[in-house]
Amino acid sequence: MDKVKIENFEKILFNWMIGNRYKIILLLMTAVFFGNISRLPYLNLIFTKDVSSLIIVVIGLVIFNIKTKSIFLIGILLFLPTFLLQLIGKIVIAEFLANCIYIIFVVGVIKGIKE
Amino acid sequence: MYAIVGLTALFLLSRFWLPSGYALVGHDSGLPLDSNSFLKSRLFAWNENIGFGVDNSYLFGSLPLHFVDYLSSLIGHTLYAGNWFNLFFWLALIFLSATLFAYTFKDIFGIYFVFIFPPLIVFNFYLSQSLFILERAKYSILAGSLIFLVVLFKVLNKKISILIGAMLASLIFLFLNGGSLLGVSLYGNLIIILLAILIFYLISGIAKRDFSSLIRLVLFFITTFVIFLGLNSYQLLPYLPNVFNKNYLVHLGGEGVAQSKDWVNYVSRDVSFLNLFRFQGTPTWYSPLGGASSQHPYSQLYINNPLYVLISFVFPAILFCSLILAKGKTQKKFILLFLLVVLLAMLFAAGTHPPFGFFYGFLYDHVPGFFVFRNPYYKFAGAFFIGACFLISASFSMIASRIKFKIISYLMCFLVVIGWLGYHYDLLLPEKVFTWKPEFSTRMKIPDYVWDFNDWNKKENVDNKKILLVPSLGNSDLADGYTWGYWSLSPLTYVFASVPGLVNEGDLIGEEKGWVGKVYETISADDERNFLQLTSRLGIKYILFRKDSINLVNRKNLEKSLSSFTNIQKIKSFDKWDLYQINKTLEPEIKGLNSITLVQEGKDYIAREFLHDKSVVAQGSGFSESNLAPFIDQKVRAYTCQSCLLERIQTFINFPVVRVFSNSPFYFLKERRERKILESSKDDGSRIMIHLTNVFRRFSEVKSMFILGVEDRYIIDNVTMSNQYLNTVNRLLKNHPELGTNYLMAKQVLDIVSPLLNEFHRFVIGSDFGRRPSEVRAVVYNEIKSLNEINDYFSILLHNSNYLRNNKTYSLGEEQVLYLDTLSLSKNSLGKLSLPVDISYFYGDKETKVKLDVTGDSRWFKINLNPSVPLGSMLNLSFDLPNIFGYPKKSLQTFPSGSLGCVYGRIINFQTGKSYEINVLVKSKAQRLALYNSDLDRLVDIYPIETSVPFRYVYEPDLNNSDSSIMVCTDDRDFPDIGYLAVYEMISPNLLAVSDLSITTNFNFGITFKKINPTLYKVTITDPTKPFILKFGQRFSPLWKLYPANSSWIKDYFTGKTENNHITVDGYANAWILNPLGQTEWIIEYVPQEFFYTGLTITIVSLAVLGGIIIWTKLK
Repeated sequence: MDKVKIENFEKILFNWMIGNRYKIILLLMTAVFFGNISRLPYLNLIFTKDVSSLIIVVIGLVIFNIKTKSIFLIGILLFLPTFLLQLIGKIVIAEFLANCIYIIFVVGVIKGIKE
Repeated sequence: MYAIVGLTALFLLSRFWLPSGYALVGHDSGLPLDSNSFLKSRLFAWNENIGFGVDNSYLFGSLPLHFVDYLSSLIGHTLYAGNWFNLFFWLALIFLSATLFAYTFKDIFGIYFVFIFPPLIVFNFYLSQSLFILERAKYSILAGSLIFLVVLFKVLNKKISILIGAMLASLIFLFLNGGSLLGVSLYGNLIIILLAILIFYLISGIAKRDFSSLIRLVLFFITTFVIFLGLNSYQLLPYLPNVFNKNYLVHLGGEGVAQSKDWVNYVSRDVSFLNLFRFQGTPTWYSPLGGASSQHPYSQLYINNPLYVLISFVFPAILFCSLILAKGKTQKKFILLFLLVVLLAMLFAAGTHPPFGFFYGFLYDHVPGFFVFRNPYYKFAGAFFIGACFLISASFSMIASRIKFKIISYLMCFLVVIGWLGYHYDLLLPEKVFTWKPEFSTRMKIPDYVWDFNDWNKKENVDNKKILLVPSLGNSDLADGYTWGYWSLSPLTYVFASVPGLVNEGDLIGEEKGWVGKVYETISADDERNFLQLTSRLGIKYILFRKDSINLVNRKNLEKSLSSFTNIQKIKSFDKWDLYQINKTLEPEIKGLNSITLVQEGKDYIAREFLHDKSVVAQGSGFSESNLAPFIDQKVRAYTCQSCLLERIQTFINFPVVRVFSNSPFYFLKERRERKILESSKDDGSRIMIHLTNVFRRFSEVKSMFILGVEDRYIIDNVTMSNQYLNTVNRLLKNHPELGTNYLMAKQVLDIVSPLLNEFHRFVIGSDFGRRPSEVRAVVYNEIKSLNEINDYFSILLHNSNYLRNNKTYSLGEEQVLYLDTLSLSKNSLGKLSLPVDISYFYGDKETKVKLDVTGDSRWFKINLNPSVPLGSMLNLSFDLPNIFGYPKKSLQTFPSGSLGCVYGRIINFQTGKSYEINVLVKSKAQRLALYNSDLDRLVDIYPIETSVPFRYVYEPDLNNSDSSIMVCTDDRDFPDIGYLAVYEMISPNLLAVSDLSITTNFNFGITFKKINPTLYKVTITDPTKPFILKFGQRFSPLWKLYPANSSWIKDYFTGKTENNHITVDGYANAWILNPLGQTEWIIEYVPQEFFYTGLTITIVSLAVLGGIIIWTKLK
């Protein structure tokens, strides 16, 4: 039974990956590009690690064409780890997560208005 | 019904917060103690009761707000405005506007929305942080914005026309206007909401290819703005003259954007998205060291308590759930609109906080006028709270609407409101919400004697004579505070409005501070003669001695001084306040002057410190000197000690952080800028300085490149270029005609060359330098050689430190009488003045001795020069300055690092603000020594350890350091082995040069005047045959105009005809060079007042037109 479930899951995942292979490659390329830019002298004055990460999040949300409600759900769910990080005093990581949530909502709102 | 329940609750809360006898007053509230007088004072463009008079023309917009203050005092049966009714009025207004706003969405989100939204808007951290000062201006905009949005949505839904909507919107902001032009930044919240609406309709317009709503919106905004301008003419027109004079920057605080950017960074440091999501981020909540501030009355609970932290995360979750819960197009539309408001407001409220702070920083630097938003959180977070409260209310309302049983829905709404209030429980407690610092609250009981004094002033001081407040305000913050709780940067007399109090407050500008400070000085020095002269001149008739002031430090001394003055008498006692009257005739506020003294620009203090009974005019204040020439009876010039400049040449300097080096692809930009600056230099002097500055900058680059291990070829190129610059400097200096006489140039050049040489010396003795390639070493040696050559050029001026300390050199002008200020000289350990031992002047090699004479004033000595002194001669004052290091002894001192052996003693006649030269002669090289002050701060390491010459250090004590001890310590328990430790005061003797022009006019003009109101005086000149100077004692403003009574001022005003004759005397007062030509009746007027009358007429006419249109529309 379990084996069947795992096989099904693998099949779904494989199909999704095949169906979205160009998007995945594009996202990976984008991630590599901005990841490197944030290490380059002079350019990293503008494209800091934080800004680059937020750009990658935006591009990810856009190219996979995630539904507005799902975007909001992701944002809301991310408040849970943010709360836990805040509680244990990991403020810097909590702030980074909150910045990601902010960007997720911005994308969600723009997408919602367009729809 | 719900509104009545809400209002009743707010009424009870207001009574609970401020029961009878309690008042809100102080801090930054501007809540008047005498609301009637305060309202009246706002009807005039000039307020004569603050300092030497201040401009009020930008405050006419506060009339509606102060009318509410006055109304509150009437209803609350108090003289003061900060009573329970005022509190109730503003909270009720916000509540009612929120209810009206919520009612608009009743059909979209359900009736429950109306119940939930208003309490959320009234009780939150944004509103509560300003309750302690009852920030009425902010509340008026908040309420106005909510009502405006109702109108806006009606216009968008085409329920009312654009014109009617615009008229209604303008009427709203006529009354709920943000206080005055000072409150323009409070519109930040509304701007964000409107921007969000515009973006929303733009995006949806692009998506639908239908821009009709957007066009309607823009038309509505434009129409509203035009009508708004017409209706607000009463406050906008009076300010126009200030705009022409560019005074608006002063009022809006826009001077020095760079400095205020630091402030923006400071207040934005804790306004992260994380905190904003949780409805937090108020800057005062947080400690600069991180975490909750211990000074804040309730932030620790909300930041540190895990339960409260958890609840704070529930808010954003509910808020953003609204979109998931939304059903139907309309619900989604408004949810998305307010989500956009929330996100946009967060971006702005976070200010310069990362990650998007660069965007705010860019706007701040480049958008004209954006500097008014230097407190981002306070100006934009309101929009966030409106949006967030809307979305939370919508979420709950949508859930409640889906519950089958209404009773459960209502119960849920009730629980939501109760839960919200429970979370904000601390904000309901008066001891927390009105407390802004431990033991400092704006809620207090005002003692009866304060009111008694106000009554006395109204009844007895009908001529509005100035009252000097004693003691003076503390120098650290210039705040006025009393043991019964009042604390504010505005003196208490300011909130009375009708009391003409004078004190050393922060609002005094320029020389005004000096004049008021001098009065206090004469009291503490028991100098009655000068005290009477000054008070008469400044129009001070009374002294109010406040024994309950927190600034009262030495009560006995002050009482002794006041009682020792024979010409003042105590006339009344108000419990802890004593009132003294000065028995000397005051100088009239408007008077004629036969002559004046001309002084250099910025030297107006000479009137106060040297001339006493003369009025002075400073050069360079924009008037025509030829017009003034017939009235100048003497000129006074302050000589600068030129050799003193060389005593403070800096030997060490912090080199700037460099980001772009010569190996960078962007380096050409730097080189281009360097060339551009070089080309802009006009004379040899500036050319020398620009070349040296370039050398300095390039050295910073080289230093960083060495550390970062950049390739040698780049370093060689850079140093070679520096060498070329130095060669140019060498060539220019060699041929410079003032090389041996220009001390200022010497100082500027050596301030760069000396630190550079020091750095190079350190560099070449380092072990790393020897391993460098020979090319690198060669260019560095060349650079050192060039720097040494420059240094040598100035050896003729530099002499040695002993010579510079004891010899003060001045460049003489054409004046033959000089006055030496003994206050600028040093005293020996017995308190005896150290006068010059030799005075001589040089012209070429010829030396002529002169002597020092006494004058009638013990402070000033006179130097009479020979009438044939050639122009360009140098005067030399030779001193034998005493060593003022006293009581030396050896002892072990306890430092945090352990006990150290020290030689310590005190600087005699020590004063903060002065500089001291410390010389230490070391006897043995085998020791490590350092110099410390009384706070055990390590001032400097004594290095290098040389036994042949003393180590020299310039000590400039910190302003807070009142202890005169200094010590030299080893780094262990052994005592220092030193030959001597000597301290000399570094003096720069103040020399005034006087040239008498012997004008002997003593003409009586027979001036009388009548004050019509604070902005209008009628002046009568009995004998208008001769020209003279008319002095008017209010603070100088170009907007004060003098014109003949029978002429129109407006023509002269717009043509600027009389501008050349309007001058500043004594550094603060107005004066006009007047040739009356037989005209006896004259008017002095503050012109913004006339603009106010005109503006008020336009406002009334606009209101009548609006009324007519509305009635006509109804009838139609």
